[in-house]
Amino acid sequence: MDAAQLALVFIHLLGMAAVVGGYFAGIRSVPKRLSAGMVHGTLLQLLSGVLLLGLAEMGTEPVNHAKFGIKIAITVVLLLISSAPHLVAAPTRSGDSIRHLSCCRHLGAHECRDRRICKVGGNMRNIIKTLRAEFAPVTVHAHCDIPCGIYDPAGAVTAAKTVARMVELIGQIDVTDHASRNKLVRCITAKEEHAELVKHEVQVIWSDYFKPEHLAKVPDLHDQVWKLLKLASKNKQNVDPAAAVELVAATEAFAKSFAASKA
Amino acid sequence: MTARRIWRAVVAERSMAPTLEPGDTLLVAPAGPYGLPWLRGTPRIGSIVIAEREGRLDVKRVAAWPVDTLQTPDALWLLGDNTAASNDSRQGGPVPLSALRGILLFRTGPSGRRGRVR
Repeated sequence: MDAAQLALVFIHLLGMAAVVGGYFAGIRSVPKRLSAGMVHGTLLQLLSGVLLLGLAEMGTEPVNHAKFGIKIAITVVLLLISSAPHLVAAPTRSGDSIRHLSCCRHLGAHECRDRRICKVGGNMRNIIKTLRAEFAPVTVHAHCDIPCGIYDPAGAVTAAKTVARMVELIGQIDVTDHASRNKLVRCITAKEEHAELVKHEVQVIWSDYFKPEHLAKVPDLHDQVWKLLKLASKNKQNVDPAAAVELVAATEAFAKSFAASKA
Repeated sequence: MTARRIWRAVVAERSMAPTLEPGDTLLVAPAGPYGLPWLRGTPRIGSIVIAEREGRLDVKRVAAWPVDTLQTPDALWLLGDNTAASNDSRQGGPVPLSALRGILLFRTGPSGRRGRVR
């Protein structure tokens, strides 16, 4: 038994030598091809490997099936590649080499249309390309109403703070000339726009984000939103520092409710 | 869209956050009617699956199985990890096994997030 195993190991290594030797022998040749020796070496490796596996199975030692499986799979893939007839070195005819060179001078990113002419680099690239196309990812949805990242009360809070700041600025402007009048009008416009923005932000979160089950965690949600929207309208119409402070506090309370609903 | 082979998926939206984020690519084993005979293994509770609902593929986690429904004796109760922003069995009801399309094997990308998903 031991002698048989030793002989098989020798043959196995011989096969490997043929493959590795063939690789180094052909390393300088421009159209990269498998020599017949490499193909035979691979076959020899598969055969002797399977026989070695048989011997190992007959023995008493536990057999590492994963190791054998991976080795056999690699060998089978090598054999499949080498069984592609155009890859294996054929007797060269006159003129062949010139055609190879003319196709493969620019190895960078060219695509070989005619695989019978160009054997360099193209095959592995083509295999990878096919695999990539075959395993192109399919979109799966982790669904929620529109992209969910947009549900954030921070927008409403920022808008409310802008309203408060604008109210503050409006109180400081003394209209004496065109420049100060221009600034006043701009501040008023910004205040009204941001008060409207508060309403919009809060309404979107209220109608789109909040679901019936959230009401258990935020029981006063509807009343809170209703009062907040009215407060925002009041800020839009008037210049009232107290109301502006209230609006900021109300949006912050709304942000707390939003956080509470997620807890 | 899906077949009897291992396929790849890319996640859109955030209902499985923080486990799965938009742009994550997943390697998926076929399951349900598309499952290979030796890979058909029904999902375990807690595993992440892909099911077809209303013509689109949803990725969700199995919260309970089997769930008895009027139509099918065994159905999956699927929930998103990001419960606040997930549309799942709480709204759509249980999902029959026949709608199952795949079981997540592992995450293939983006490069920093490769590996097993729990």
